[in-house]
Amino acid sequence: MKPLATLVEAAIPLIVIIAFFLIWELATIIFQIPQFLLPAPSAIFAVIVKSFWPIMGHAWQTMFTTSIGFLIAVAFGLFGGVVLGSSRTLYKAFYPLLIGFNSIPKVAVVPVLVIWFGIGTVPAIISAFLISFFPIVVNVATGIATLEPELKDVLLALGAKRRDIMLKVGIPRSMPYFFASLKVAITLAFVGAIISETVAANSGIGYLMVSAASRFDVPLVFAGLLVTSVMGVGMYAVAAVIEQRTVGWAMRGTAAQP
Amino acid sequence: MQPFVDFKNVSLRYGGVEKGLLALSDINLQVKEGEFVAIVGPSGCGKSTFLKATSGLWPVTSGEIVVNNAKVKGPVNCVGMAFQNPTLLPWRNTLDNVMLPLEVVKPQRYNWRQKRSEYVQAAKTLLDMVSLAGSEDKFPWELSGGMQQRVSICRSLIHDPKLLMLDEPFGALDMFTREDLWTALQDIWLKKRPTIILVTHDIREAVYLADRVIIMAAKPGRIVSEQTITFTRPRPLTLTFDSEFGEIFSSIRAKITEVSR
Ligand SMILES: Nc1ncnc2c1ncn2[C@@H]1O[C@H](COP(=O)(O)OP(=O)(O)OP(=O)(O)O)[C@@H](O)[C@H]1O
Ligand SMILES: [Mg+2]
Repeated sequence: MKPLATLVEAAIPLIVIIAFFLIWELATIIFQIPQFLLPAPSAIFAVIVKSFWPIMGHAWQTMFTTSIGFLIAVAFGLFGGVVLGSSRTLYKAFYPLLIGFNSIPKVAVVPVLVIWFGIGTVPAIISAFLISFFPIVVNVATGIATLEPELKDVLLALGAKRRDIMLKVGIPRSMPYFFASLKVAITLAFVGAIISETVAANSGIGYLMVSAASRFDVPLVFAGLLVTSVMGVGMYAVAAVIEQRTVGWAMRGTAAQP
Repeated sequence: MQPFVDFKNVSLRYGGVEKGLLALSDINLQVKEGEFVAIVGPSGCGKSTFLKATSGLWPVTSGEIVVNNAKVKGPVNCVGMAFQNPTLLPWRNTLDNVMLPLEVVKPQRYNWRQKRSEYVQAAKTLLDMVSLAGSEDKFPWELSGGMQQRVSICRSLIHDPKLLMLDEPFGALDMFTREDLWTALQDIWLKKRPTIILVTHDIREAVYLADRVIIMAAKPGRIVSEQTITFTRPRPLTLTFDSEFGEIFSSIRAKITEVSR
């Protein structure tokens, strides 16, 4: 009985997605919604099949800029989080600045990036980085800063230096926070890259959608949206698997059960 | 003989030299090497602060503390500590949790890799003494609260500290587990003879375990009285039903009630 139950559990999300598209399809038929307002899923899939390779080319470009921006964000985010988390003073000093940066709508930054770097790949990478950096820093810093004071006392009374505490406890302890933030950050990185592409690029999914919209090719716009969300889900899944493998101990309630 | 822990006119004020809270006021106390001292007193009287001052985790405002012939200036470096909550590392199993101090404390931090098998043996012996043999590979979430607390106590002992400081280590446990751990702690103390300072709310625990019970009062935190306990060791648990035990218990209790008002 058990394997069947898990199979059903695994299939449920798929069923929900299929149901979602079916209802959508039916709705467009029943209410006779015109193609240029809300294309039916069948029309969207048809477009994807028809223009498969061009769409893939744009998807690849977006995937590329997103991944690079995301990886830079991971590197800087980890580093920044460890630095900020290890010192109360630095944490307090930099937090308002970080919040300030994060409150700037990234769309507003893109024109500045265009002035600095021209149009194309670089501004997309940078906006992907800018938008996904913040949750990583904050999560890692929080994970380290919320170390139990008693545990710190135990280690200090053993003669531990700040570095020991960081390596033995602080950083391992922040890993669940880090991986949790990756799942958020990767989807945000897509948002960043695509925002930039809609404003300043001649390739990428964002560019594809804007140019399709200007031709009123609404099914193609939706094809872009669909491809984006598939990429987002895929990257999220990768992050989730890595999380499960590395910090399963933090999810003992669900994962450690036989 | 030089006392192992020596408080000379120690005062400790949290925040602000003048207006801060006087958590320790003019404390004078000597603890001999290998002595088992318990500190009791009403909540907020400065017991935990006393431990923090002893281990150098919080600087004193005036006076001087000497531990093991050295004046305490910063965190001392070899003390074992355990608290009311076990604070185990969830990503380490029991054995690795117990062995954590060896990776930090001198001189073991330089050789814990080479001598690992030796230290594993020491850890297993300790776990055995608190009836945790066989739980080496379990992770903290697989252990009950009482078992976690025992692991935490083993962790405080693994590097054979000369000074062991326990802050209500049995406070969150049920009576039966607690009494089990009393006997286990007494056995360990008899075997290794560390100097122990035990902070507790439980007067029975203090009288049963300690050579000397220090009674503190709050506002300002100070020592009001002390009681030497001379029952022979090892003390059986039935001692707690003894009439002499009861008298000591009552007199300490009366004193705490008196100073709490
Ligand atoms: N870090 C701190 N900053 C300021 N005041 C503190 C700090 N730690 C403790 N205090 C104050 O010092 C006094 C003594 O605290 P302490 O923790 O030593 O009491 P305690 O005897 O251990 O109490 P309990 O039995 O409840 O654990 C209390 O009034 C407390 O509010
Ligand atoms: Mg306390």
